[in-house]
Amino acid sequence: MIRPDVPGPDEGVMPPSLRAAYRATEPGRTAQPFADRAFRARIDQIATGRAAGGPLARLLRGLVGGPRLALNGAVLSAALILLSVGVPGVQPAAESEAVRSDATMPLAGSSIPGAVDSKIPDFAASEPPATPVVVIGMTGLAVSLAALALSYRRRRA
Amino acid sequence: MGDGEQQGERVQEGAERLRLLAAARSGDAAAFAALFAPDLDLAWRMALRVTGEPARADDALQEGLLAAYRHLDRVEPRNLRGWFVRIVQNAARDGERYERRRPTSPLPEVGEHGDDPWSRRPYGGSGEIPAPSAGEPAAVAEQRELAQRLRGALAMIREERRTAILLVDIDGYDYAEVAEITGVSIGTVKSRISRGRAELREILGDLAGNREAGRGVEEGR
Repeated sequence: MIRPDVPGPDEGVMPPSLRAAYRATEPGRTAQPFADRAFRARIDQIATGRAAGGPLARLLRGLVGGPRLALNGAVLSAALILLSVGVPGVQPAAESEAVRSDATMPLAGSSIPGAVDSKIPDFAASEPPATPVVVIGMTGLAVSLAALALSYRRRRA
Repeated sequence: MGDGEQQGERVQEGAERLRLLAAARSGDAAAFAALFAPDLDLAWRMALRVTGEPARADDALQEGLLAAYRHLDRVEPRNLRGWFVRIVQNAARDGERYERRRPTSPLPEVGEHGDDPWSRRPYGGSGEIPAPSAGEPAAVAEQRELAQRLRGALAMIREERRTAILLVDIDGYDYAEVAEITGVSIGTVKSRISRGRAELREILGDLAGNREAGRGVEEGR
């Protein structure tokens, strides 16, 4: 509602005649959104979804509704950790023990008797996980989660 | 009413809003309707000032309400009004962009005010405020003319400055409230108002036939 006669902080800057003229010609709201049946149905639909979720869904929505920067930071940090530690089933360490220990096996297609594949890497002696990257990832994840939790608490205060 | 009483009322109002927000977040549609009921007029007016047409402001208000309900978990309780008003304003802008891409009726030619819908459709589809009728009292006709001059001048200044001037000079909000509604600092509000008023004075002073209105603004400094 327009405040009828509340003076602005700088009353007089806009001459009262101009102000009154503008107000008199500006239309007011007549439509009541909540009286519209189709609109109410859409609101009820959202309300049903909200009510059905339960506390866990509410917590998840609250976290997902957090600041974009913190969300992106959490996702990137988690991805960094997974990539440096290795995803189970995808990492080289998951290769079968038979292949790994058979570096001395003669090459199947080799014409030289007794030739061995010297190119087969020794996975057992492969590099350890990139520790500094994991530390950076863990720090990033912790900071992002803390920012999300802080934002969640502020919104629920 | 004393300051203490007013403050008490504000605290009570705040507590009630928090209760409504919590209920709306857990799926109470009636609580949601009550939560934003005090802000509907302001949000609608802000949408109207973007679209220039009441029917489109109605649409923007509905879209804004739906978006607000969907994203209710994102809002911080201390600035519900500003958050909601900005959602409705953005819905109005989105609607305008959509209409510009798919115009359903021929729009009036774009004039000196650029492609600003606010200047194209001041409160109707025709593009102009209706001319005074023959039987209209002279005072009303004069008021209409003054409003049209002011509206024309406002259309020539940047949207954020126009919004700040309208909120302070027309609607009577103070700087702190305008800062809350528009989501900027009080300093930014003051700067926008100061620059907007300077532009307005210049435009009203320059427009032929607007000497009187220009003098009015000048006197108010």
